[in-house]
Amino acid sequence: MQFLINTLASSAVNLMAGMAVSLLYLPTGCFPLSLGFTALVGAYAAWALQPQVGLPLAVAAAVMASALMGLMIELALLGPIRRQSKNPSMTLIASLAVLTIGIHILSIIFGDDVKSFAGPSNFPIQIGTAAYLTLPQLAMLINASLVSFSMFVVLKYTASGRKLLAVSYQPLLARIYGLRPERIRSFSVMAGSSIAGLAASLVAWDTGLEPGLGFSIVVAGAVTMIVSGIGEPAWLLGGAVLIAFLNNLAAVLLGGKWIHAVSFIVMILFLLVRPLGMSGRRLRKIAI
Amino acid sequence: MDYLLHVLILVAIYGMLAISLSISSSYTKLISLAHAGFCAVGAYTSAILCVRFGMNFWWTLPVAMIASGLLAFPVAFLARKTIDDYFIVCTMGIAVIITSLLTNLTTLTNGPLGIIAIPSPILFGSPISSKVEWLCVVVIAYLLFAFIANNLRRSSFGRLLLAIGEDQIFCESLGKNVNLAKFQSFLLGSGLAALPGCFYSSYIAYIDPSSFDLNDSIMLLSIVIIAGMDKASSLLPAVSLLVVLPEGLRFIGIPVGIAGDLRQVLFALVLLLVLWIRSNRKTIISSSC
Repeated sequence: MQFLINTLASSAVNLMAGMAVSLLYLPTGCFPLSLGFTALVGAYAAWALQPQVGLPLAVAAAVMASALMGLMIELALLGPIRRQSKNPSMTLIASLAVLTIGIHILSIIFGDDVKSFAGPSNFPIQIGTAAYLTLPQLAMLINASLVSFSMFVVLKYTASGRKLLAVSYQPLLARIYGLRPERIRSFSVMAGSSIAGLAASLVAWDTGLEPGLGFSIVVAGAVTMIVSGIGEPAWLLGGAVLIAFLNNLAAVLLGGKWIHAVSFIVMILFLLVRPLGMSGRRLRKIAI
Repeated sequence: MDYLLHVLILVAIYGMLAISLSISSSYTKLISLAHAGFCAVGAYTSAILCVRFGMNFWWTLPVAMIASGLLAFPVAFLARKTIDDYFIVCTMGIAVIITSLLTNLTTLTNGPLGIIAIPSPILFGSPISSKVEWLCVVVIAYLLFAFIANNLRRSSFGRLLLAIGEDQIFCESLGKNVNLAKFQSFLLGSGLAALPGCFYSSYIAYIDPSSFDLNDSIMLLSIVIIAGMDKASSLLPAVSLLVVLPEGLRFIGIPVGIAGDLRQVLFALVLLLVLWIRSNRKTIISSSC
């Protein structure tokens, strides 16, 4: 039972991270590794503000901080490099450089030790005889449900979602139709960054905060997106659960140190056997 | 003087690594973040064979190359399935997997504690002991690497690799086996990466998994990108810059606790700056796939 609860909580984090990575990958066409840094900015903002303003307001501030940081990185660094180089590899390397700089600067400022949130955080709710659901885990499940439902509705049933998909699949055609790709891209980056900030804050509340969390979030997001298949938000849930299950299984059988390795092994196996992910669908060429 | 020699030895070792990385990254544009991992496989193979089995260092070199090449085999296969940023993310995963294996297979690698007391190579009947001798050995090895890279570049195979890097579809239209050439270039680069790893482990006499993590791959990639993806001749100045630059931190009183972080910030900052400047000058390589 405890294994099931832990898997569900990990699935919630993977789902949020996967949505965040997808929201940045779809309109930019490049893996947003810098998202690890923007998520971390949010988590550290939540940790710093929580003793003064309480957890809900601190998490709200974290979401805003991540969104602003994501937008700044996109407008000042990655956007110009992507426009000029036209090579996704170069943008990805720039994104990796941003992640490296960010993580190490935060490490210099706050140190490498694990920071815990002040006050009562892990109120365990007993489920069954020997299983417990902590308050942060409950918050992860609720937030992941709300965010994924919102994303599904926005992408499928709103004009904004259709505009985002149009810009993602055919930016030139979208521009001809009068859409403004840069603006839509910026909104998408802000939305993705804020979800990453939320996920990182909740994980930090649950297990503690340290600079390596940024890398964990972006790895979880990238692997979930690749395994699920790009462009199909509904499949993200399947990918998130699969990765969470295998990670938790590896943690039980082999130990926690293998979690990242297992995630990447699953991703590589999927790329070899089923490159289009679980959804198996190719990106549509025209979405207008 | 010893310190200066130490820095020069490191420049030569990183120079060899940069040359081996450039064979796949510069020629066929297969940008890999797993290169430090392949170097680690070479270093650990050599160290384990020398320390546990008492094998002669020079005999461990081909074994290390084979071990690294064997690991690179599935990754090279991935290069056929993925392109651009997907391939880079895959190699990032390979780097993480290799670090996990080195850290957790404690019976073989001694885990995070690493392998100590790695013996020096025996040369002309006596072990290499002084830094001058070490410098001579690694400079000769570096020149050998540069000779191989230079000849490769001028060979028909090298020209095919360069052509693939410029326009893969055009090469396919000429009937060239592009996948095989990419496969071979990646295997060759990864196999060669084992040798500097062997020299490094034997020179330092100690290795642990943190000596070859993702950050080192980022540094190597920075060297190749700063040198210019298609300019092998400027690799050495780029290596010198990125090896010497962080050494300067020792002389400005930076606390040891943050020196490692600052070193990584410096590498990434230089990399970002170069990418930014080149993208603004529109001189960066165009997409080939």
